[in-house]
Amino acid sequence: MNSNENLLATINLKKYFPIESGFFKQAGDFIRAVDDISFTINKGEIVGLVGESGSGKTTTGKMITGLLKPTSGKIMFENINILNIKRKELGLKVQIIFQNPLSSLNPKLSIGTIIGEAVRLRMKADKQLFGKTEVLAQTEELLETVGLSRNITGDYPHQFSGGQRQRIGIARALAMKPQLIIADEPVSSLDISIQAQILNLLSDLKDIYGLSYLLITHDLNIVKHICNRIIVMYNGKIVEEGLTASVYNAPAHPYTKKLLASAPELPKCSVP
Amino acid sequence: MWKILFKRFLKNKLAITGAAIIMFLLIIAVFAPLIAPYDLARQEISHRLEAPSARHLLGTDELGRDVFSRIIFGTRISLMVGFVATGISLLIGVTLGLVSGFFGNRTDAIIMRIVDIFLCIPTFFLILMVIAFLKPSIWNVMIVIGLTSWPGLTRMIRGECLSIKEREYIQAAKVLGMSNLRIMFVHLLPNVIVPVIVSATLGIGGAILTESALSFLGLGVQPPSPSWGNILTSGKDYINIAWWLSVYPGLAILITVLAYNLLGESLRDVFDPRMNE
Amino acid sequence: MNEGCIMDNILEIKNLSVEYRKGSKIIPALRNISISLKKKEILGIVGESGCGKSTLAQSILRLIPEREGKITSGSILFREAPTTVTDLLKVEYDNLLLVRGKRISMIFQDPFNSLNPVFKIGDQLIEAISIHEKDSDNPAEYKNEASTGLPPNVLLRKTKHGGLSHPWYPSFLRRNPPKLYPPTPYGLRKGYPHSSTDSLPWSSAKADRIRTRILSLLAKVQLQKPELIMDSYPHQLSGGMLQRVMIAMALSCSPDILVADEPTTALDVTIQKEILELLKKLQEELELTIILISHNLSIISRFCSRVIILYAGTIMEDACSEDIFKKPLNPYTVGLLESLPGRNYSRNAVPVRLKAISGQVPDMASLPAGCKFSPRCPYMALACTAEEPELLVLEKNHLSRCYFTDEFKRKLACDN
Repeated sequence: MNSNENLLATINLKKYFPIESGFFKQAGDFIRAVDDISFTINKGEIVGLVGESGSGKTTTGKMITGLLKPTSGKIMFENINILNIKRKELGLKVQIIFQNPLSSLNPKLSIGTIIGEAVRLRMKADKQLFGKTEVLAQTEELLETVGLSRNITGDYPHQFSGGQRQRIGIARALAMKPQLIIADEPVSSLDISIQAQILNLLSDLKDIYGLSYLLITHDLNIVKHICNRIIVMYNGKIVEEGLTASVYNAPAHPYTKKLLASAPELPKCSVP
Repeated sequence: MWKILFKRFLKNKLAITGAAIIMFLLIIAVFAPLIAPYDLARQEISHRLEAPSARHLLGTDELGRDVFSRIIFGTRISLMVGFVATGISLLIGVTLGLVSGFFGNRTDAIIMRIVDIFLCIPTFFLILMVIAFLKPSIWNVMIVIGLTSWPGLTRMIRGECLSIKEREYIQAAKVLGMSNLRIMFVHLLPNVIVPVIVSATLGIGGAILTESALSFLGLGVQPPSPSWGNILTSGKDYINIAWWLSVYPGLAILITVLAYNLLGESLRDVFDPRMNE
Repeated sequence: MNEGCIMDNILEIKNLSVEYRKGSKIIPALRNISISLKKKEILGIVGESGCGKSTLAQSILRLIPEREGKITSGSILFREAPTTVTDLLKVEYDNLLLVRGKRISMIFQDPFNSLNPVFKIGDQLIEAISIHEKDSDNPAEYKNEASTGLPPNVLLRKTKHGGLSHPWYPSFLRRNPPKLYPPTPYGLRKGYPHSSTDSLPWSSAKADRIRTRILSLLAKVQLQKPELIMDSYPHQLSGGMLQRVMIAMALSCSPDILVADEPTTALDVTIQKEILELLKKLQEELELTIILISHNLSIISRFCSRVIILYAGTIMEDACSEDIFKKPLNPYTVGLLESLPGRNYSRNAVPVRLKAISGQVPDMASLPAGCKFSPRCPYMALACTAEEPELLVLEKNHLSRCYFTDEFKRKLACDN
């Protein structure tokens, strides 16, 4: 593992959504989506955030990227509070990959535009002089990195399959050269054979670019395979945290035990 | 993308009919001086109120002017009013709708209240009042019609925005750090514009009708400039003896508005084809 | 075809081919599928997107609308009684309706969208029961019935004094109850053999009986407080509870076969386990035959006794569950098993590369020549692209569609 610097740290993070009731919209009760969680992500780590629906994992991911503002608590990126980082700059550090490949790409824009925008934003931030050719060149390079053909810049998202669209989404995230990528259920809606391809791609990219991931998922097998550490969430709270191997071999919290028991054991195959 | 839409457009018979009629009208409007046999203000007092004949295809009016030529020149006015008024309302309506839908919260609330107020006022009487204060002229008419028809578009766009705003590609754009302006106009707009195009096309027909009504009341285009509406004004006094003064301009209005309605309705099918093919 | 006594087979699908029409193109969805299903078996059908598994499920009950898809050949033989076999694809529509829901029923993937959001759960269950009531084969339940079909839209609410009450109805509705059309996933259809002579509300004895039956069904699917559930609307229940309600509805007429099309995909992991265990328990109790369709291999391995692997509209492998997972004999199956994460995770949690199948699922409109998996098969030889291999019977009850090139044979030898 690389150096131990904290890339990201959440401190007592809370996100409450008010339930509006009454004619005058008095906020009565709150939905405690995220209820006082604190964790860290180190450079070069893949941290798995595991939980079922309603556990608050997606909300946490959205808060780290700045899409939602926390109700209280802090998120520190390299020891700077995220709230003090402008959206433009945050985009250069943290990026996101979404679950649903169908709706994560704008159907009315061409692939070249979708990735080109991100490339342009990065080039502008790097104070690099750029024109159409440079942007196109980098777009094509990114497409090749994620395993797609260079010639698709004129095509539109609906012409591609789920797995290909997910790769385009990954290319878009990479274009910003971030340090941390939040992957929100990146393979849940893909076929098994494509899941394996995308997981391989993600781990390759981590090695090439030195990325760190926060992998949000409910699939324990993926976590077992690719994550260094696991954080288990339930009802907005962290119930267990630790290295993958130790959590799997000796789960402490009853919810973790239940979760591990429900994940069906893969059949003992002769195929190694 | 657009090629698919174009192909669908060509297959839809209603769309082609509407578009063909509008093209035809556009050609007439542009080449009006070449097509019209007589000058539009030329008066032949000795031949006033003549029935349609070989010399005057659609007859003459009470001052001896050729109705056919006047109707042809009137096409210019009507089409111009349609496009300009709708253009203004699109500009205002789309911008306000996007701002309202994208930002939400208080901005949305304020804009929607303004829209509600506008929608409560009967548009036509508002226009009458405004024109009564200002000088009745073609430009005033166009601007005023444009300024009173944007609220419907705003509501429509805002509604679409609300549903599309939460889609993941918009969130991705925000995470990329794009400016709000770019997100609104490059990402959101192409996805919300479809019902607006349909509504705007139908709105052109409405604008033409409103202009005709205003001209009929004498508050729109002033004579001697011909507008289908003000030919009808003179027509109403002579309806027993010169039916052609009422029928032909009326027919012209009918065909034009029909063409725009056909186009608008069929555009809906072009953008959103149903499965029964 | 599998060996096995013909008398045991409750459903036999023979050479089924289905194609979809998209504009002017014809896209094959299923090509020459043959499956035989024994009584009380749990069959798992595995495949990725585009392989045709949902089409297969819907074809069994002819649920594909005419203008979208056509069943071009084949027969589905259903053993209704020990001596009667009917071809479901050839029977009259009216007779098909007698089978649907009653002898063969189905549960779908998304429980949130399978129930009508404006009716209470109780009403929808009543509907399901009353449709098939008059031809019920459960004499114990409906022995004393001199019933003709009855309007289902009668809420059975017990009043404070113990009687049954009906909601207010406009009088014209009461005299001529609307004809009930059996609800199907694609909308309402006409023509159900339903008597319109009956116009009275149910007798209270009958209403009582039906109410008890519904409550017992809900209890059987392990729902707490069935009375409360009966009076709730779908949006008030969670996904797991809704799926249980769907199972209750599917089982309300004691069917012989239950087709479950990805029943747990939309649910959480812990709920998935509960629903599957429930299905297993019900299967043992009610002697059901279940066809479980999924893309999740772990669920299939835990739950099914026999597994069929579909790819590009044909069967790639057909074997019992143990054989498929321990001794797969088809490169596609081998590829799928190797691409599952979590089987060989490294101890120091450094990501290990998975052996993924390269390429993508083929476009059904332009399938490659020869074996449809050959472009992606790591053991491909030239012979594979010439002609599609037949489904061979290898060992007992283990079929595979492959030419078994030398490379593949070597791979199998290595593993064993």
